[in-house]
Amino acid sequence: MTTNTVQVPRSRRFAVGDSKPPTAERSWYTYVLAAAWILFLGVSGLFFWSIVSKSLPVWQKQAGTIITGTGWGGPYGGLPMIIGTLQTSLIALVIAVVVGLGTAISIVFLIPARLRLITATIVELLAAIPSIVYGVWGLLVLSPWMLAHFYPFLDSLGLTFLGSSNIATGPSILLASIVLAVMILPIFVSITREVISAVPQDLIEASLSLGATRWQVISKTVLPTARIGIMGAAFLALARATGETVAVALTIGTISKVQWHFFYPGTTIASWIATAFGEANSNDIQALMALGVILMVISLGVSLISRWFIARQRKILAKV
Amino acid sequence: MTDDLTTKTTTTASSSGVKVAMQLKDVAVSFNGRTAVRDATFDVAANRVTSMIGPSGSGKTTLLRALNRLHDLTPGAKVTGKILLEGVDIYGPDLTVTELRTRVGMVFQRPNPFPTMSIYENAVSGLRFNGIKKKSLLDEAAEESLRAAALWESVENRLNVAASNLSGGEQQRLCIARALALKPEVLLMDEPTSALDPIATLRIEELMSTLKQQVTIIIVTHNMQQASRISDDCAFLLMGEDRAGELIEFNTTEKIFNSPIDSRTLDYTLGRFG
Repeated sequence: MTTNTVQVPRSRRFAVGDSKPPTAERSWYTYVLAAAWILFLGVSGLFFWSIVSKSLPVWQKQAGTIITGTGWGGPYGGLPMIIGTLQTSLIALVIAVVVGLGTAISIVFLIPARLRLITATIVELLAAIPSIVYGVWGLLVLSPWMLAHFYPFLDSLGLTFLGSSNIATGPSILLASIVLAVMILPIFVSITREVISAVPQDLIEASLSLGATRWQVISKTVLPTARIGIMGAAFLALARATGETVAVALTIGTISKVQWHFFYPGTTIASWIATAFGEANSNDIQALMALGVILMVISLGVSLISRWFIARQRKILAKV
Repeated sequence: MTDDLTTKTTTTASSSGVKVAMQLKDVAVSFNGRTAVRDATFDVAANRVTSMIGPSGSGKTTLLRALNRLHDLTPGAKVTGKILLEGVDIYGPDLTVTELRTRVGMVFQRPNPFPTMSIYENAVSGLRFNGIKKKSLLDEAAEESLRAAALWESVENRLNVAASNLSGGEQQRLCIARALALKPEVLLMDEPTSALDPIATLRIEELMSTLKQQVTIIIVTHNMQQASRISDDCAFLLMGEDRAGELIEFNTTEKIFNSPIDSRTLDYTLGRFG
């Protein structure tokens, strides 16, 4: 054993920042780890390069049209997909935040301890359901119900800008958004639950000691202290929503049209790529790859914002 | 149990003609059936500083938290016996828990101003919780309480900066101001200087001696010198054989430190254990 010949103090052996072990300790696993690291860098590099290079002709020939154009086939226009992605994920986010915030607060503060774990587990199990199941559920269960009850209900409220329930056929921006909302709910609830559980107990006790009611503790102390982290949770959920493919493809109708009437079909980047790929010629593929790059940029941006929020929340709590 | 009580040496401040702020009668706190502290019977004299001392595990903080019903939050916690605030049972129907907590304020071990609020908002947070919105009232209370906590001079020009910009000692004084803004009758302090440096500690101690003119103070401390310096009355608690804390002796601080009746009190104040 080579390690026996070198006397490394026990406390120093795993010291962080001590990245260079003495030569005698450098053994096969160092090389395995290095190889894994290089492989990882290589694979990710190749991945990005291949996607960008496949779409390169589109960026050279019609960089503007792919972002602002609305047709598909001559020049390729991605505006309907980009707008559709933003529409569905933002509507989904609004629904998920309203429902999820209430759920997370109830789990942490309101329901009895015995129910707490069960509810939290159920919410997290929702995340484990494959998205195809959500898609089929949206198409076969939610869509008929919405056609029969929800669209007419919204109609009766006079929300004509959404479209008319008489013309609606089922697949729609609204349907896809609601399915998405259910899908991103678990991630939003579980992160929000953690963020609000991390609000220090002594702040809660301080509020109570000043005569705050339980509701005031939640609204005036817990939520303000956790708000940055809740923003982070929302953006993480948003990132998940922008990239969701199959459930949206099944429920949105997938037509290449900028759709402002939410009762009617539209499309998103991810669902458009998935459905159009089958019959795509080489030019189509370049355009689809370009859409893929746009989606990657959106998702990456949203994820980065989410990380920034969560890092800031950590800093806030570290100062408390 | 009754034997214990009869041998217990407690004096009631009321006998010496001093006004009583709070009375504890055979108070015990248990968690899920396990007793954490028991047999606490003593009177807290108004406008004096009463300290609770004892080694860790003797239940002093547990007892303190019973006095503003903070144990209400803990599932399985049970408080028995009687705790009276100016003669009214604080666990009874004549006093709501929120009203009790505005009359019995609390300062915690770690300075814990609200991190998302400014100095001003922290100072008036208790008033806001209680529905006071009028700007002039809030301004007045903020100045008055910050002055009372000896903080006004140093923060007067930066009332709107975040409370986290203050030093630890200033944060703790802000927490005291926050509690004082509600004009409580009693102020509970749970080892308020244990997270502070000696100079900040000294300033809080000086503050307490002036504050007792307007508010009755009950302080838990593990620092015997502190208890002897600042308190007028003193309760000594100790963990019994079944790991439950109990009140051993209550008397004026002078008597507890100079001529205690129980030999265990003497041993502890002389530093023989703990």
